[in-house]
Amino acid sequence: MSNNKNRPAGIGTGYLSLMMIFVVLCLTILAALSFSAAENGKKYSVKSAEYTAEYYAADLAAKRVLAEIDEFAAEYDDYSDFMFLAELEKIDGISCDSVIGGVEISWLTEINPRQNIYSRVKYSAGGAEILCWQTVSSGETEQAPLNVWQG
Amino acid sequence: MDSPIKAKRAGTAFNLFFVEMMIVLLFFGIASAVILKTFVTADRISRESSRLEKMSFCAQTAAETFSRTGNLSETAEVMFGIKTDSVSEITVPLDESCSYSPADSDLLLTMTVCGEEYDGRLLELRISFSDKDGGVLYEVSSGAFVSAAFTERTESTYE
Repeated sequence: MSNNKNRPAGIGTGYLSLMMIFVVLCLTILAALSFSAAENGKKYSVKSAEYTAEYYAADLAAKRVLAEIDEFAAEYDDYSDFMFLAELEKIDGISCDSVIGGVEISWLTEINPRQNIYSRVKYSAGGAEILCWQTVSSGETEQAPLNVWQG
Repeated sequence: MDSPIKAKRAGTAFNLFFVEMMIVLLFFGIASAVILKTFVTADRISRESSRLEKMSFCAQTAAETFSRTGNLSETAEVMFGIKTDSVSEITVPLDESCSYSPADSDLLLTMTVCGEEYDGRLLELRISFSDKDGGVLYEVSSGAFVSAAFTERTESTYE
């Protein structure tokens, strides 16, 4: 009883340390989570920005091929002409399919090792038309899509 | 008999409390400084990534608009409502959210037609974002293919 009477009022020795450790621990966890979330967001943004730059560089390269094709095409009126097809053979990486009254030309342009731009244009008596200009996974084209489950 | 000893003990406990408080405050101060710095760094990284994302979206819009129009002044008018006669280079002041801000700009968007191939039918556009000091933050190269043969198709697609 006499010991209780002489004990100082308020919180005792050690409680402050415990409270401080708890508060610092909580703040540290929050700070670590906040930092981790910001880092992940930054990684995503950098990847997205890099992909955008890669895509438009590939898009420009694909347009350059189209411009080259168009330059040959400008010299011909009949796109099923044998000479026109022979001229197209000079361009690397393109494939030509003869269709009624014209030709369909397709080519792949690499965006990165996993993706390509698949382009397909048609030159016929009715004029020129872009049939397809889309991003595809490497190895996938309109004729040979990836072997994935369709549901 | 025991009163002097008790008085001394009470004083020691009281002193111990303050000594502990001093140590706790010191440690808490140091820990808080480190934690605060971590929060500030996280905030800075978050702002930077948000800005990069917006620059990327803005560059995409510029690239697609230029690809559609093949004309730099028309691209600037469609994107920001700016009327200019320049056909080779345009610098646009932007704020943090990549909106046109001539009064208080944080970023500068420079669009330059840096190449013409195939008799001007293929135009190369460089889209570059820089800070106030001129340091390049983000850059994209894009292009537009303008051909009479494809005009009809392009117009009907975007209508």
